[in-house]
Amino acid sequence: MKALMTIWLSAMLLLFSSLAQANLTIEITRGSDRATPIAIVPFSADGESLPEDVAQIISDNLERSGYFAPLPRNAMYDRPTTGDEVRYGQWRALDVRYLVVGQVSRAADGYRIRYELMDVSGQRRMLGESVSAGSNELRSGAHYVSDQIFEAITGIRGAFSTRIAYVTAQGTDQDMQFGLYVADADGHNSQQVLSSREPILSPAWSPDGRKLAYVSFETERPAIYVQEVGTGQRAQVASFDGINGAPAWSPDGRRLAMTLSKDGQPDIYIMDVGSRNLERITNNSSIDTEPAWSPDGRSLIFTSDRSGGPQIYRYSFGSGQTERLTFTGNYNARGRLSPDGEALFLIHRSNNGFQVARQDLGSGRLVVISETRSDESPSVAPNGTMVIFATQQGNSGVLGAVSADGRASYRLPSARGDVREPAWSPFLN
Amino acid sequence: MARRQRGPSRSYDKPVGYGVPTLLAIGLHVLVVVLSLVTLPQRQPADPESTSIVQATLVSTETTTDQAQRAEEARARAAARQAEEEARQEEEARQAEAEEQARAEAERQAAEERAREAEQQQAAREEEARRLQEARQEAEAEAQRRAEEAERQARLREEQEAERQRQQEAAAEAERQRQQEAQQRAEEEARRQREAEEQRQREAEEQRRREEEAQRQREAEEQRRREEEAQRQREAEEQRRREEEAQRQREAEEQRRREEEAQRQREAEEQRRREEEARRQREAEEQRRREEEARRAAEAASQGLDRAIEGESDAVANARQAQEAANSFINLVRRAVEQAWVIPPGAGGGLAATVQVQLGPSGELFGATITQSSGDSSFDRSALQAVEAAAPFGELRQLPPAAQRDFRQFNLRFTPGDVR
Repeated sequence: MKALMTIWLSAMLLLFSSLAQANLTIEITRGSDRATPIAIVPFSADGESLPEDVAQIISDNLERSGYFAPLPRNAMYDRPTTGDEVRYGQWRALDVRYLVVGQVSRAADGYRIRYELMDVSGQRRMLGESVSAGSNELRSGAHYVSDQIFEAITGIRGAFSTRIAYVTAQGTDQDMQFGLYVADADGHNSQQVLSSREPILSPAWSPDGRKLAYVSFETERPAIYVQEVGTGQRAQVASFDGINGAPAWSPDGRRLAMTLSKDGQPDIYIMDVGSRNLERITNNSSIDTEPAWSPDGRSLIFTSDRSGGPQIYRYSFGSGQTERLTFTGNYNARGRLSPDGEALFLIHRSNNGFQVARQDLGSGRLVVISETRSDESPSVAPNGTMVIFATQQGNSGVLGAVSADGRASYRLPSARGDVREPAWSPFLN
Repeated sequence: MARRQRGPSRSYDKPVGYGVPTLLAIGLHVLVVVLSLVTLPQRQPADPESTSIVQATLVSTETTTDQAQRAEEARARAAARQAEEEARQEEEARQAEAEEQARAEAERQAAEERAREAEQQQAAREEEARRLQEARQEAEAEAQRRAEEAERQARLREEQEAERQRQQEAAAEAERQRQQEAQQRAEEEARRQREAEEQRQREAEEQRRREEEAQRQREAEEQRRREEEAQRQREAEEQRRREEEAQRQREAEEQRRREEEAQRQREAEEQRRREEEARRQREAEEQRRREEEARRAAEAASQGLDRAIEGESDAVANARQAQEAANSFINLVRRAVEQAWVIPPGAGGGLAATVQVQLGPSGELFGATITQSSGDSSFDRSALQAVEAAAPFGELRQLPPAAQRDFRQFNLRFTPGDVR
């Protein structure tokens, strides 16, 4: 009887404990939002000195995105240049999740970049490719590699090979000189595409990335021009009485939304670029300006002071209805939509001044994402991960960028003079 | 308004502009009047002449007709006279006829000459009138032309003036607009500063509110945790109480059983005593021995039960100890994985993934596989990497051997509920 009882008890205990353990699931709800640790080992160059440090460009690109924290070079004990040489244990010990190795060699017409991306935890190669670059295209080659790595890890298309346009002002009152520039997304490789003694405003990229629309005062009155970036050929498309401002290309590139005051107060119009026919979109006694298209082309957002202060509104082509989008604070202007159309980036007057903010259109929640205080003209990268904007540093205008979630921000290398009105290009390849 | 006031005052500033043309115009008009006065008296008599010219033409036509008639009559008379004096003065008549014819011819010629003269005079008069008319018209045209020229120049000047004015106005407008813009900017700046101050206060308020909210949440969390702890303790207490109750019941049962046994023994003894009264003394010794044996047997049984009871509580204590060890291992795994999990950006949208983890006997990672994907490869990989970075879990060896086997395989469910 005693033995029986003991056996019974043991059996029950075992049963209960095994029942409990069979479905054991531990909930992991907390994590770190720190950037993903990655190591980009300097690429070997066969002893040659190269005009650009490809690994450094990739490292800088990934770091600026805010998604990655590259390991400093002086922390790398080992410098493999191919995937076969990688000893994963070392990199695991450094808590690196991903590793990039590669080589650059001279080729007949320039360079050949070979690179491999390794998943350190999984100890496997995720990506390996050989890329050729022209003799002065090493930077763009490095941007291309950055794009591939970024997409392989995050699943989001990289935007490091895109470009930006911006306006500079140099000199003082009498000798002011204005310039329209186009540069790589990292601010390097800038080229002047227009120079004028009168102000230039609001550059806007066509969806194919080949043309820029902008406002120039070269005739002493504002007029809208369209210029081919490659050839410099340009045409005046709007020069009505009063304001001709804020051109914005439709997603199909056939129409330009713009602000005109030819019929009184500034209102939003749409011009068919081919025929130059105009269609009036808004018509009221308030100021309506800064139009921007939704990615699907079915609606326009714009800034209006019809409720008193500036707020963002949306006009839908289907219904012809206009709705107000922003309700947080009494100043929300210069709206730009994310490529998925779900978020609105704008200039919000917060306690700290004029800052870049993101509003989730689903929830209506508005979050300030920039840390600077006199921000202007936000423009969203074509993959929606970053926003570039103009801000003040000392007494001069500089360009800043912030990740769409506000985690990371950086300042672009300063161009000469006052820099403003940045515009991020669409994908170019 | 300012524009309109400025316009006329500018034209008054320069009277010279209108003075000369005005004088010219007045002079021209005077000239025209004088010319007309001079020409009118000449033209006054000319007017009837003009009509008489027409009449003269008619008269001269009639005269020609009369002459013709008279010539006819003369010829008729000559014919009559010829008929009367044909015989007598045929030669003479012929001569007379010839003379008559010559006279008639001369008369006709004279008449024709007169008519021609009249015509010439008429033509001369007409020519004169036409010249006068032309002169007058020319003078008038000239006056008109000068007037027009003056007017055109005046208009030109006016237009130039207006153009200059427009340009000045445009410049002024542009300047005004620039100033307005500058002013707007200045006002905007002032407003920004003003509002920045207000908003700093609001932010401070907001900050305080957020902190209070966070504090409230922390307190609520703490409260919840305390309540859970209390609940756990209550449950443990309850469990202990139930176990004690069971033990008490078992003891009571045992007691009752022992008492029944004693009772039965007492009855048996009584029975035996009643039935074997006679043999009692004789078998007293035997009886005592048997009783002693029975007592010893009862004691032995009692001791065995006690031992069984002791074994049971040991098992319960062991189970509790094992459970505690298991809990601490789970917490350790959770902490280690959470610390190693780098949540990819943009993973806030309700993503969840389950990873099945297999451990070796010393807690080393044998395998980690996604058993339920989030649908986002970046997110899935981050979960696997978190497990791989957190392994090995050497604390597995500190578990009781049975629990060690149980923890060689378990699941981790990743749901980013608490980022930042």
